[in-house]
Amino acid sequence: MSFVEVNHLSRSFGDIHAVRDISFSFNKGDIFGFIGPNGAGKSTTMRILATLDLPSAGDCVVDGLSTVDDADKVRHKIGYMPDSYGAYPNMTVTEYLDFFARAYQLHGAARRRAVLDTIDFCQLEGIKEKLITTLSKGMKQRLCLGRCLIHDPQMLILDEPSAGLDPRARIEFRDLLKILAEQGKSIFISSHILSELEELCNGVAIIEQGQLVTTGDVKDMKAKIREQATIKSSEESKDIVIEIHLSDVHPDAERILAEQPQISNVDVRERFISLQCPSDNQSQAALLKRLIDAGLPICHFAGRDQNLEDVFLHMTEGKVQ
Amino acid sequence: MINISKVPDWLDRFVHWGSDKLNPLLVRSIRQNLRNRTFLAVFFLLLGIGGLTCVMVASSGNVTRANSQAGLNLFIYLSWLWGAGIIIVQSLSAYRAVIIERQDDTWDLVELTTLEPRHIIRGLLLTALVQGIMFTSALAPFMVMAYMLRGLNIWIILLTFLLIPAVSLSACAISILCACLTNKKGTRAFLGLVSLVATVWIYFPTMAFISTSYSINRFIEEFLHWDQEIIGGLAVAFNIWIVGNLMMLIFSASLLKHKAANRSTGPRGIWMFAYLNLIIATLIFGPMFYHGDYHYELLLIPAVIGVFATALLGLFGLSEHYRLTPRQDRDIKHPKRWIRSFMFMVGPGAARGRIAYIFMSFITFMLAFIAYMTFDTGYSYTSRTVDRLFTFVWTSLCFTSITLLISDYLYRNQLRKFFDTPALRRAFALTFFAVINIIPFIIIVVLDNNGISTGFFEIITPLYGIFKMMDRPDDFFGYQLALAILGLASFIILFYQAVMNYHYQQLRTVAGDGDRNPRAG
Repeated sequence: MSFVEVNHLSRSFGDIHAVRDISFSFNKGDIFGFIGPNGAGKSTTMRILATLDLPSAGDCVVDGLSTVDDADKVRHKIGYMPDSYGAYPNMTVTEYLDFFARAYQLHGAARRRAVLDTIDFCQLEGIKEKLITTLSKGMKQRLCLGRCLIHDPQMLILDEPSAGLDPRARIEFRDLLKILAEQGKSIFISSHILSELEELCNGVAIIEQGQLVTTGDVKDMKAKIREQATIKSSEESKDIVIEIHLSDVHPDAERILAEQPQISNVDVRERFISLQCPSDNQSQAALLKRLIDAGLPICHFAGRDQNLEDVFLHMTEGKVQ
Repeated sequence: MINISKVPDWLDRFVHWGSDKLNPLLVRSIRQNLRNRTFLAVFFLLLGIGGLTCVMVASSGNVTRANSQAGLNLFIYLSWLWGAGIIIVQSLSAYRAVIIERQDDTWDLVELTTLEPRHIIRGLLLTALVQGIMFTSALAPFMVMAYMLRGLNIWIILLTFLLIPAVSLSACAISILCACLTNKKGTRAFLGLVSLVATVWIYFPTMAFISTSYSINRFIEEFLHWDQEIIGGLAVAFNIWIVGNLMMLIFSASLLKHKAANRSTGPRGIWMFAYLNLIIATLIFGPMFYHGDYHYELLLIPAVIGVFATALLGLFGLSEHYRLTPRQDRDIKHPKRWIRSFMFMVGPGAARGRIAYIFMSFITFMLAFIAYMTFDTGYSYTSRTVDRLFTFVWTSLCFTSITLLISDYLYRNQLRKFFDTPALRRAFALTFFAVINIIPFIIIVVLDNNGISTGFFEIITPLYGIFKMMDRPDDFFGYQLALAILGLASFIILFYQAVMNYHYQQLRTVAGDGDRNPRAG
């Protein structure tokens, strides 16, 4: 049994079916991404998983406990970060964390230690006496992550945690999540920044118009898409993008490539070359042979790798409710 | 000289222990309040106006006269100011605190902490009280100064210091209840207004009582002479104050509970406890005010009140779902020890709601019956009153039971599609009650205008019928008999339904289609 299971979950608001019969699961220590366009039903699903909303049908199970029937027990196991910060005015960082530690019924030394550990882990030491309202977005986000961690939950539910952060803050935040996953915490994260999820996640679920489009391992999904793309290109006799890496910069690379038949859109940037050629294997093998014979020091020759963005675009149609 | 930097170990440990046990919301709100501009503004305003009042009274020139009332006057001015701070400002701030607490982005986070609604309500109430203490501290030096002037005795101070905080706590409880009733913006504004009006409405009579030297002196004088009525009145007021505040706070906490949780035990339990308290209080304090030879007829007071209390309990208890959620099921199987024996009545669900309703109706009837049977019929006027009230109690119980049973049958069967939630069922039952009172009344008016006998319609209309039977019981013996049989039958059916559904099936709680979408803004 997986640590988290979403079983045939549906949620309607009147005529609007925010989530329709979606199912997926992931294990302890996994970082699981949840991808979908705006209004796809990501936040609704996350709120139900966080016990904050009820499903119209179906259920979510966390460590064998239903988020509807055993909400109180599930709440001890999860930390939820909504897309809004949920910060109180007129409070310092330490007071904010202390409030949540008290609210999670941590007492005495355990509470003080939890606050200090959280400040330390989220690198809030320098701002611990600052008022929350004066913090930057990145700092607020770290503080909210700290709030989620104060009671040492087994799973984190993070709803678009990187939205609005600058690149540095985003990288720092991502590093914190990696450490948490290494500690064995499951992380369920939604984000619009797909490159970030690609690097972080073991698995993803893609949702569109409240329906699950696909779910699974990121690598498997990319391989599947690549395969589909290749087959599709072959069937339609389309060109595919080939990426070539040279071991050294070659002065005649552009000239050699210009002489090759059946290739187009050649882009040479020092040691890196990309071009389009027919999708069949014979044409690609012939091209590789010709380029080596022409003296190009090729150390990498492959169809361009599909990234999560490709997977997302391939799987979804850009529809919103 | 005390070295304050060196705190004794025991004191340090005690402070840490105390701080640890404090309600998290109280700690948070106090920290926030100390930086809150509005709070600080009110604090300094009280301080400023208090100081100004002192200066004005002191400079009025009659402070040194032998019969000067300057102390009393200053104290009354300060009391008005203090009352405004801790009755009006404090309760409005309690209302605002609940509203702010329930804002989507922070409420979710508090809900997730497993802090129970009762902790939240208690925290908010305590915050209001501590805020009140801080406001008091702003005026305290001036009140001490008032005591040093002439014309003020210690009893007035004591009475004021008991009455104003007590009223302030009730005003806060009202405000918190109003704020918990809904989370919809429009209704919230309306309830805010209701809360404000209620608070002001409480404030003025309280302050007028304290300010009127005649009434306050007379009260104190009678109290010091242990006047039975004053002592009894105080005891009754204290009793009502405790139970009333408790009820409001329990209702507030229940309103904040999760939809799938047990939201019935608290309100139903406190409702029944309040009724029991009323009966006991009537028996204990009633004789202090009543100078007749017989006291059993006093039971008619809780019996008459019980008619309305029972009807309300029935309205809520009957309309619940028969089937229970797993969380409610757990509450029934593993209740807290002190309530275990009462779960057959106060447990969640329509089956237990029916048992509670039947039990309370029975108690109400028995109270009226004991009063009726034990009263000496020698006093003709009182005897007639007792007869009338007894008739009122039993006919009302029968009409209510029949009405609730019919409406319950309709909303669970033919109209199930339209009234599938407890709230809608309650609305239907109330509408049904209104309709069966209004339609026969219209028929009566039409028939009466045409000279046709209206007796039958008069008697089958609950409100009309009850008063007819109270006035002329001998003329309606047949109707009374029919009503008694039907009433008894309806209670038996309700009991049968309770027994048949006592061993519930589990119901998975799901979201309603009409539930608010928090993502919709």
